[in-house]
Amino acid sequence: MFIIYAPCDHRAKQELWESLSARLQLLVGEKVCVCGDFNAVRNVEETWSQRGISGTHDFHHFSHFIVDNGLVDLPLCGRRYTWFKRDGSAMSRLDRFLLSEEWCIQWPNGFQVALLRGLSDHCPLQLSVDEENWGPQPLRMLKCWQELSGYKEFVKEKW
Amino acid sequence: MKLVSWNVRGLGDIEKRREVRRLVGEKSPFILCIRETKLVVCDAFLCNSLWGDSNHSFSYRPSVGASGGLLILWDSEEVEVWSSGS
Repeated sequence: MFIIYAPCDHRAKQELWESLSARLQLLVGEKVCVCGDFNAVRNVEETWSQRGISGTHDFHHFSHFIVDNGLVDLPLCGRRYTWFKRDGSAMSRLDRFLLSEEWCIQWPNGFQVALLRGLSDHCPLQLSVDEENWGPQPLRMLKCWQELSGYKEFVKEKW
Repeated sequence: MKLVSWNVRGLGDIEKRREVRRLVGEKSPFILCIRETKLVVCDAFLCNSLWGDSNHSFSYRPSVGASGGLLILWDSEEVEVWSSGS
């Protein structure tokens, strides 16, 4: 398991991707989780700023790091961004969990959720692995129930 | 199994510590990774105030000046650490 707090500087970040990739190469075939604040996003969808988007070349390096190392980037549930500038003028998905394929095979059905933001400008990020989670429960009904008087109203009331 | 990762922006403040404590109580994670503790030293007393009395262990990397600092706490009944480094 790796815990990352990436620097903001482009060059320093690039060095981090390189040194991390070297370490990950030694762990090919292992269950690996890389989590943290990467101070980078993968595409324009993951960042928003009042002043517009700048530094697009950064997307490319970070995405390459993820793809080249065969890491699985789970979608984010709960909200779109994990970091919010205090005055609300910018927001980004800076935090994430990246998982190796072997991790996902061992613990399938993993999902990451951005929790409520409190005193920090970052949301806590939670990776849950629930082996018992089979998705939403299906709704079942018998057709004949519709014929009972007051059925429609009952459903309306309880829904 | 739950893992929680959070850039907390400073753990010196008592309110922040309470927030972490609430999060641990609510989510009962196996592992909690805190970034930017802004603390040079993390001790057992601090970790106890964050995790509570249940069995836990921790590992940290000090902040550099007033920035950075990592703290990893884990449920020692669920997680076994073989080695760590940075």
